[in-house]
Amino acid sequence: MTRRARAELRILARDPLLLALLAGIALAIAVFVVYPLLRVLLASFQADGAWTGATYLDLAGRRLYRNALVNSLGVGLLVGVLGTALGYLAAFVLTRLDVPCRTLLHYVTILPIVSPPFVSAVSIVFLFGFNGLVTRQVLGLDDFSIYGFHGVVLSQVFTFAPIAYLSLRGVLAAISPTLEDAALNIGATRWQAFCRVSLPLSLPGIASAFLVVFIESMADFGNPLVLAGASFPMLAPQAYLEITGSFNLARGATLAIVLLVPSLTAFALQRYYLAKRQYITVTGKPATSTSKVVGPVTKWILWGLVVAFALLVASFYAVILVGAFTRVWGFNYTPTLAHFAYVFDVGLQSVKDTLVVAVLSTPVSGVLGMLVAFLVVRRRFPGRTALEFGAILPFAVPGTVVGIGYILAFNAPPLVLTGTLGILVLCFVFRYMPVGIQSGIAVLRQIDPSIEEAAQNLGADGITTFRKVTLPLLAPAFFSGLIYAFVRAMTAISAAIFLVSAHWNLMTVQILNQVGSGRLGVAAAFSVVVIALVLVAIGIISLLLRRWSRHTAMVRPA
Amino acid sequence: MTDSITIAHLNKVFASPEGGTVAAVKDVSLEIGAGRLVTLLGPSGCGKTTLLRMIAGFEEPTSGDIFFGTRRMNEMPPNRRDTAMVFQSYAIFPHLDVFENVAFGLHLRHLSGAEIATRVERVLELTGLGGFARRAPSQLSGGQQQRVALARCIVMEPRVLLFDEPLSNLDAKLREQMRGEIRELQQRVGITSVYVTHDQAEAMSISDEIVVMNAGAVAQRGTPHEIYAHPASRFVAGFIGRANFVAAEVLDAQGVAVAGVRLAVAGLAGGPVGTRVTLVVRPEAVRLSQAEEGLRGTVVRATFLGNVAEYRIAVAQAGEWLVEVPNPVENGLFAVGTVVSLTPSAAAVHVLA
Ligand SMILES: Nc1ncnc2c1ncn2[C@@H]1O[C@H](COP(=O)(O)OP(=O)(O)OP(=O)(O)O)[C@@H](O)[C@H]1O
Ligand SMILES: [Mg+2]
Repeated sequence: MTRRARAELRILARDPLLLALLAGIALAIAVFVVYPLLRVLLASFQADGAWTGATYLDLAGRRLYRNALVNSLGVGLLVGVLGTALGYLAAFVLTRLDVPCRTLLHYVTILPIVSPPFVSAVSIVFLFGFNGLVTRQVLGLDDFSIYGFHGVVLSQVFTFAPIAYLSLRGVLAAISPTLEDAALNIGATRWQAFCRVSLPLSLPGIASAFLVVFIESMADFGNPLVLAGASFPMLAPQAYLEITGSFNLARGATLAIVLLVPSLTAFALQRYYLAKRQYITVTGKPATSTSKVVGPVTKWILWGLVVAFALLVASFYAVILVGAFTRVWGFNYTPTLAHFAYVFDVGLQSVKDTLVVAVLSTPVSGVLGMLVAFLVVRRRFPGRTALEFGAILPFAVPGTVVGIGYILAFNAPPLVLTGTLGILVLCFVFRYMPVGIQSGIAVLRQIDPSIEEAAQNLGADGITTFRKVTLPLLAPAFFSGLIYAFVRAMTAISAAIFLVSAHWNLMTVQILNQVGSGRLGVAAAFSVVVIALVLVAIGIISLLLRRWSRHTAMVRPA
Repeated sequence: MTDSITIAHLNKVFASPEGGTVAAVKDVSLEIGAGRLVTLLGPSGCGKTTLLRMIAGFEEPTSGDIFFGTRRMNEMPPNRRDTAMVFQSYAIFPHLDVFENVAFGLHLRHLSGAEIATRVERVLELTGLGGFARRAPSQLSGGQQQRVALARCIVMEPRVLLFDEPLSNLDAKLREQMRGEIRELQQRVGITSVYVTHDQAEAMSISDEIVVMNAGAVAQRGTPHEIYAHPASRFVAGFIGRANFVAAEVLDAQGVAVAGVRLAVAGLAGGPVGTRVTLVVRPEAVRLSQAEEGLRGTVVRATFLGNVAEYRIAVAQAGEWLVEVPNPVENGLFAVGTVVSLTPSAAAVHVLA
C-alpha cells in the first residue's frame, strides 16, 4: 500500500462507522456485480471441467451464432442512428421552437420509458401481425410478416428513442441559443448557423445518446423475443434459449460474453471519452430565447413529425388498452373483462410478488446510490475510482449477462440464493443503482462542500452528516433515482427471467408467457396493470418529494 | 470551557493537481492565549485558510502539532474537536430554517428540547435574529445569513471559534458594522478565536493580535499597533497600511541622511555610522510646508479625497513620496508643480535594517 493510501485510510478510520459502511458497500459490489461477471467469463472458457477456448471456436464456426452477432450489432447500430435522430428532432422541437402543446408532447414522448418491455412489441403484433388491425383488417394483406429485422427495429426505435430524447434535451438545454443568434448576427444563413454552431456543439451529446441507445438495444430481450422470429436470431434471446432450452450453460455464457463486449466498449467510449467533451455554454440564468435557425415552414414540418411520433406512441398505448378489453384480437372484438379477471385471479400472486420485489429493492437501491455518490465525491480512499466504476458498471451490462452470472454464482455454496426473494431484490438493487449514482454525483458536485463540513464542525460524524445534510440536499436526485429504480424493477425482464421461481414470479415474466402462448389479451391486461402501478408509484414518490423537501426551492447561501 | 491554542512547527504540503507539491503552510509556530482573538492576515494564497482548516481538523498536517490547552489534537476528527467555524460561504443548511440551523449542533449533543429552545432563542436575540427563527435561509439578506452562521457557532459554546473571511461577501458598510458586532460578541462570550482575513482594516479593528503571513510562513506577529508602527519587514510594512520606503544612511544615534539631508529619527537602534538602511515613512506622518529648507520636492499629483488630500511628490534622489494631509477643506491644496518641504515626524519614522 502506498503512503497516500495509508494516510487516507487512517483519516477514514477516525470515523469507524463510515469506514465499516464503505467496506460493506465495496464488498457487496464485489460480490453482486463483479463476481457474477467473472463467473460468466470463467464458464465461457470451461467445458467438461477443463479449460478451453473451444466454445468460442464452436460459436464462430456456426452460422446461427455468427448471424446472431451480426443481427444484434446491425439492429443496435440502426436503432442507435434512428433513435438518436428521432430523439434529437423531438428535443430540438420541444426545447428550441415556439410550438403548441410542448408539455403534452413531452409527456407522451417519454411514456415508453415507464412501460413494460413488451408494450410496443405486443402493440406491433396487434397492429401489424398476421391478424393485425392494419395489415389484415385494413390493408387485407395475408402474406406480410412483421417478424424479423424490421419488426425488431421498429419496436426498439419506439422503445429507446425516448431515452435519446431525454438525454439530448439536457444537452440542448445546456447550449445557449444566443450562440445561434450570434452566428446569424454576423451573417450566417440559418442552415449555416445550424450546421456550424448548434450541431457541432451538440455533437458529443449526440454521440453519447447514440451509444446509450446502442447499449440498450444490444441488451434488449423482450422485443427480439417477441418479434425476431426463428429466422432472425439475436444474441440476448439466443443466450437465454441455450440455457433454458438446451441447458447448455457454457454456450450461454459464451454468447453472454460476446454480447457484453460491444456493450462495454460503447460504455467505455461514452463515459471516458465523450463525457469529457460535452459543451456547456449556459451562463447563469437559463436563456429563454427560442431558436431562429428554422424558418416558419420548416418549423411546422418538424413539429408535424414530432406530433406524428407522439400520435404513434399514443396509438400503441390505445391499442394495448383496447386489446386488454377485447376478447380475441383479430377475430372477436367483443368487449370483455376476462383478461383482467385472469390477471387478478391466476396472475394475482405475480402482481404481489412484483410489488414486493420493487418496493423492497427501490429504497435500498436509492439510498445506496446516494451513499456511493457521497463517498465517491466527498471522501478520499484507496480504490475510489474502482468503487465508482464497479457501482455504475451494471448500467452497461446486458440483463441477460447478469441473469446468467447470478445463476452461475449463487446456485451453489457459499451463497445459495436461487429461487429466493433475496436474489431478485439484490439483482435489482445493484442493477438500477447506477442512474441514481450518476445524478447524485452531478448534484453533489454543485453543492458547496463547506455545508457538509459545517455539519461535521458542529459535531456530526460521517453518517450523521450524510443522513441530516447530504441526503436532504440530494432530494431531487434521490427521488428521481427512486422513480427510475422502481420503474425498472417493475418492468425488468432480461435478468429477472433467469431468477424467477415458482415461489417468486414477476408480472413481466407472465406477460412473456402469455405472449408465448398467444394470449395477447392477457398480456395486454398485465401490461395495463404494470403501467397503472408505475404511474401510481411515480405519483406517490413525487408527492413524498414535495413533502420531504419543503425548502427545495431554497438556494444555496449567497 | 475555552482553551488556549498552541501550534508547533506546523507544515502542510499538498500534492498539486499538476503534479509536484505545494507547501501551503511552512513551519508555523504560534501560541494563542485563552479568550483572545487573533487574526491571520496575508495576501491571497498565503495559507491562511489551510492553517485554519488544520485547526478545525479538515486538513491533516503534514508535520507538526496542534494543541488545545494541553491536549494534542492532531488525530482528533473534526466532529470531536469542539471548534465552531464560520465559513466564508456561510454554509448554512439550505433545507433547514433559522432555528433548525442554530439548533443543529445542540441536537447532536442530545440536549433536551426545552434546553435547546432556550439556548437557541438566547443566541438569536444576541445576534439580532429574534424575529427570524422560522425563516428559510433563502429569505434572509446576506448580513442576516452571516448572523445565522455566527449564531450557529456561538450557541455551541465551543472551545475555539474559527472564522474564514466571514465578511468578504458583504458590502463595505455592512462589513464595518458586522466586524464591530463580532468583536463585541467575542469579548462578551470570551471564546478563543482565530480569524482569517486579507483585509488589513478588518484585522486592525477586531484583533487582540495579528499574525501576518506570507507564502505559508509567519512574517510577523504582534498587536495592531506594534505591527503598524514597527513592521519587521518591507513586506509587512507594505501589506499593513501604505508606506514610503526611503533609502537612508545612518549619521549618528539620532539622525539619518536622505538625499544628503539630515532627518531626525527617534529610537534608531544604532548600527555603525554609514550603514545603509531603509526608512518606512507612513504617508500621514509627513508634514508639508513651503519652507525653503530640509527635504524638498515637487508636487506631481494632488488628489482631494474629502477627509485628506493625497499628494505624490517627486523628491530629488529619494524617489516619489506619497503624503496625506488631513482636513484639506480648511487647509487648502498645494497645486501641481508647487515645490514643498517634507518633514517626517521623528517619532513615526521606522527604520528597517
Ligand atoms: N486541496 C488543495 N490541493 C492543492 N493545493 C492546495 C489545496 N488547498 C490549498 N492549496 C494551495 O495552498 C496554498 C494556500 O491556500 P489557502 O487556501 O490556504 O490560501 P489563503 O491564504 O486562504 O488564500 P485566500 O485569501 O485567497 O483565501 C495555495 O497556493 C493553494 O493553491
Ligand atoms: Mg482562504
